[in-house]
Amino acid sequence: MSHVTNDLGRWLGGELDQARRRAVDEHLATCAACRREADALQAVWADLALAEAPGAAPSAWPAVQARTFGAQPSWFFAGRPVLRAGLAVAAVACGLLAAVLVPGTGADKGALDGTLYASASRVLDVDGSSPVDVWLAMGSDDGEVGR
Amino acid sequence: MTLQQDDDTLMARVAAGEEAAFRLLVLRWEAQVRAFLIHMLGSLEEAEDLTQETFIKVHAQAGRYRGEGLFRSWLMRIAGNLARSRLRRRKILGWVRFDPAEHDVTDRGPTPEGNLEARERATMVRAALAALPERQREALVLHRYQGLKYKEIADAMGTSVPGVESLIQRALATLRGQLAGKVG
Repeated sequence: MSHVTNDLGRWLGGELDQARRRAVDEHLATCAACRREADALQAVWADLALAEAPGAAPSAWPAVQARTFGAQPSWFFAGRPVLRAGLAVAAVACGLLAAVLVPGTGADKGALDGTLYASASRVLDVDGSSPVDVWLAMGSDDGEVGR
Repeated sequence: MTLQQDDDTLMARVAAGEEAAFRLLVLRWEAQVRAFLIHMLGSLEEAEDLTQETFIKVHAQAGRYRGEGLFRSWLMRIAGNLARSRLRRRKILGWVRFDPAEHDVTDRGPTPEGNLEARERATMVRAALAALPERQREALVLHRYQGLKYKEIADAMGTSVPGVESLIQRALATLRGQLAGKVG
């Protein structure tokens, strides 16, 4: 039988049919040159196992679901719920500070407080919203609660 | 019902607008898609980004899926196209050549001496993989890590079975040259 080096790629990956595989195995048992080649490629094949990709990872489903069926979160916030929540809390805190420091009538401040409350509730409860919503809501100047 | 029939059934339901069917497909295949993209791009963050993009495209193209080949090949074709686009964009933007030491996706926690040697070897292997020409890397990754047969890889990459065989043969020969005699 002629040398089998051209078959070794398929042999490694289990791509040979049973008859051909048996023939290659028999040849490797008697041909030192092909055996050396097979051993070298088997070492590479085994080395590749060291570079397996990490297993456990958060599921892509929440972001895929939101982008396919629901409100579109910005790509930056997809998969970063802690960052999104932190920025939302910071945005509300700044708004509350502004409400305290910025002079205004009782009615205006009441409307602004209501808007802030509605915005905070929405940001913290509804998945996929962004702090931009909070800023836009706080910027509403007609006293309407929420947006 | 075989896995392929199940995937084809799910795709028909996705095309009909069924969210639950789409969720099942994503949960079933996302690990494989992510692993493939990590090997292609060398970046966990980019792999996660393109994993999402892959399934968004699957959903967008569900109406065109005919089940003519294995779903896995079709899925990996989409992921492969996205990976190649991202790699082309890197070249156009003149990104620094991928350095596995910078993007090492393994756990960086404390490790005993023996494991340190294995991790150094793993870094070497990843660097050698990253240095392969894209098509060789893609064919080898699909075969070695995703377990696709040559015919499936040919479908995914838009080439022939002999073409796949050649790509993998050359990839293995190159890796052998890179890794031979190097002690991790």
